Amino acid sequence: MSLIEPVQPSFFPKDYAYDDAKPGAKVVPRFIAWDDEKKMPVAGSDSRRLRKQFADWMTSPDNPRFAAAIANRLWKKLFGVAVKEPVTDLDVLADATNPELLGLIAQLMKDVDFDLREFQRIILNTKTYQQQVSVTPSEGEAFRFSGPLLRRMTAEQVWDSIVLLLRGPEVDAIRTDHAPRMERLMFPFEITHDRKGIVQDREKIFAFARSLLGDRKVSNGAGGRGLFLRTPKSRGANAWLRASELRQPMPPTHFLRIAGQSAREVADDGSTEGGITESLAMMNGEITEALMTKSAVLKDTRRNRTEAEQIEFLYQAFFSRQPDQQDKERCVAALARGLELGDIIWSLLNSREFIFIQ
Amino acid sequence: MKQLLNLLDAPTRRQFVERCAAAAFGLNVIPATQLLADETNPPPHPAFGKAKSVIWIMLGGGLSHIDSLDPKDGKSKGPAGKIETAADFQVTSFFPGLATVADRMCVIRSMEAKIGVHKPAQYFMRTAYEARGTILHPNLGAWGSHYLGRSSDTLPSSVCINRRSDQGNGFFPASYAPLAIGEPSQGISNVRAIGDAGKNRKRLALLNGLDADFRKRFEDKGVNAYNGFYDDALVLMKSKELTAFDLAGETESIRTAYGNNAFGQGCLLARRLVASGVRFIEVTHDGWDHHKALADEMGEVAPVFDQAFATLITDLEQRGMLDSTLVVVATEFGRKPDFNGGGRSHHPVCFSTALAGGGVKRGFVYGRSDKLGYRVDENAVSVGAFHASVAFTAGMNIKKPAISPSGRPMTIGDGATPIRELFARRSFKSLASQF
Repeated sequence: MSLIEPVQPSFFPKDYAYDDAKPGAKVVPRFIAWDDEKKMPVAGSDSRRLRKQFADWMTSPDNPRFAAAIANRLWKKLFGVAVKEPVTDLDVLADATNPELLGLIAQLMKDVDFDLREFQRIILNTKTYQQQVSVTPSEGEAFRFSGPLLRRMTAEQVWDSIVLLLRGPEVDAIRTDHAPRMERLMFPFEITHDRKGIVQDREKIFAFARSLLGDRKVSNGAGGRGLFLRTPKSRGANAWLRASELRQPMPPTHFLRIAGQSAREVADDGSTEGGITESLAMMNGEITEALMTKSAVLKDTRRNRTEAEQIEFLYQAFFSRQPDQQDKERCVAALARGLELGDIIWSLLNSREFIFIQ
Repeated sequence: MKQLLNLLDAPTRRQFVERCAAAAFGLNVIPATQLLADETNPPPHPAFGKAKSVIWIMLGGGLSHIDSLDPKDGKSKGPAGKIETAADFQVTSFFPGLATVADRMCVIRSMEAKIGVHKPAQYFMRTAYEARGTILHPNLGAWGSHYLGRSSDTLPSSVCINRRSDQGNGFFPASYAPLAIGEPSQGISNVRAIGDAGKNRKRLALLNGLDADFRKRFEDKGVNAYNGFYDDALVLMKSKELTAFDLAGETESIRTAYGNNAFGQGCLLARRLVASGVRFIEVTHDGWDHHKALADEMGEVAPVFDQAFATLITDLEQRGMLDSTLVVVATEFGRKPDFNGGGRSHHPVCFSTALAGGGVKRGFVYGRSDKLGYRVDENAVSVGAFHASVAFTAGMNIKKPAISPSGRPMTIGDGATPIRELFARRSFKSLASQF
């Protein structure tokens, strides 16, 4: 039985080819339930509690998709590919490349009571995660999770790695606050606080807001988001801070965006594909020049006495490993040919080894 | 050709590009007689290959067909009235500039698709394939590079303005990916090496030495793509034509005429790039997702588009470039006819697009939607057919499939054929000379 009568009936396409409905048949909406016993008493319930009811229903451990959804996403973060792709579509859990694995990690997520940190600690300690990375299988070839996939860092990871090298651990001490300052206002006139009232008294409301403002801005409510006063906070807009402390999204010309940060126009829109613009920024951009000339990593490298020790320090900083003998000799020879430590930094930064996670 | 394409799996990049260039050269000398070969040996169609360049305007969010190119009465009617245009069709009063160049436009009012979600719909409109699985599909810029080779020696053949470069090369090599310009008035950034050229060469040599092991160890498509991006970036740094990206080379009055905003300046940059031989340029304009306050939001976003578009068409025409440049107005989907004064939601099954220049008919409307704009009534155009038509005017032999890395044959527009009614049988000039 349908709980909601549709306002405008929808129909299946004329060429609908699956056998769960006839082509052109009317679509009858139904409440999503995973268990007949657990139907939520929606109809007739207090409308003020609907959101809470929905949240309880969605996050219930009995919901077969909630735990699977977050476990699947974290798996993708750690392994480079999800058990069920795309992560936004968990309609049919059995369509996962390995449904048993998806069931197992969903159960694990419930067992740790949705503690994301604990979940990741366990996954990171598996032999599977600690395997050597594999390259992305070709189209149509199955991947059996023999270990994580070689993958490019996300835009935020690339940026965070670079600002850490630029500023050293002190970067983690800096927190910014981008929440707009909201002020509750009492209107000096009667207004109905619904859409109709706001539309009707729009001009009055704007005039009132402007009278309070001074140099602050009024949002004109584009997109129906309503009217509010905000004190714009520009702190950190162009600073070398961790991505999480910057505005999201950054402007289109910022390194983060060039490296694939989502524009937040649509969901799940980050990209790690790379491109010419990004390679140009990595080779010739402002942050690269700063890394080469005035970074924390450069200063710390100089504290080492011999050239060999300096190279080892840089390898540790960029790749978390020691250089082999040949690479160490290459770098020392480069220094003898007129390159400086900053140039070695340039070469390490622009390597595929730096930007890809093994 | 087929053997060459089969080598897509693991050729060295350089070989591949050389082979494509050879193939493209071959294509140029074969007359276009095989096109539309299902007719009995017709003469080459005059519109085939008319467009040397394509400017693909992408309206992100979903242009409401009813409030723009396909105005309706009755309960579908939006906040704006109809206005007359320079052609014998009407548009809404949100687009007075476009109305003045309508006699140079070919409007399609019968686009039909199924995807009503932003990101997959963008992917579909850019590639004519549904996003699925592990394969990525190319946009028309990449298809152009495949069939016709490079369009310029040192500039990229494909550029995208106001968006990044994904949904670009697809399964083709990374060298077919568009160059992304984030802020058109700043042009292209970071093209100067840090320090002098000699130092840069030494650094590069060191980089390639230190990284060689890694690149050998991981024969990964992502890593290989990066090798390609670096090669292309280095070619671009040496280009003597980079002034094409610099809008400072334009007069203040022309810059103002396009509109002092990212989209307007993007269209101006596109015109400059066309003049420098770039084949495919996408200019993105976001902000058309009007769910709630359509009247207000159209009032903000439509004038930006309208001014830039009208200026672009007249500017191209005055420079004698409109006949050889196809301007495309594409979007994600249309918007629902139901209107109660607020907004409209997504509606992929019937929407509008437009073409101008490059061998398409002028002042022409193709296809028809029903009375309220819900469904297509006549001459439905799929996104695939739309792509095939653009490819046709750009001179690509779309019957020849490319072979994806897994050996699957792929065609422009997923096998659809061009809509021949869109193309002018004669060029506009020769028509005019008869009077």
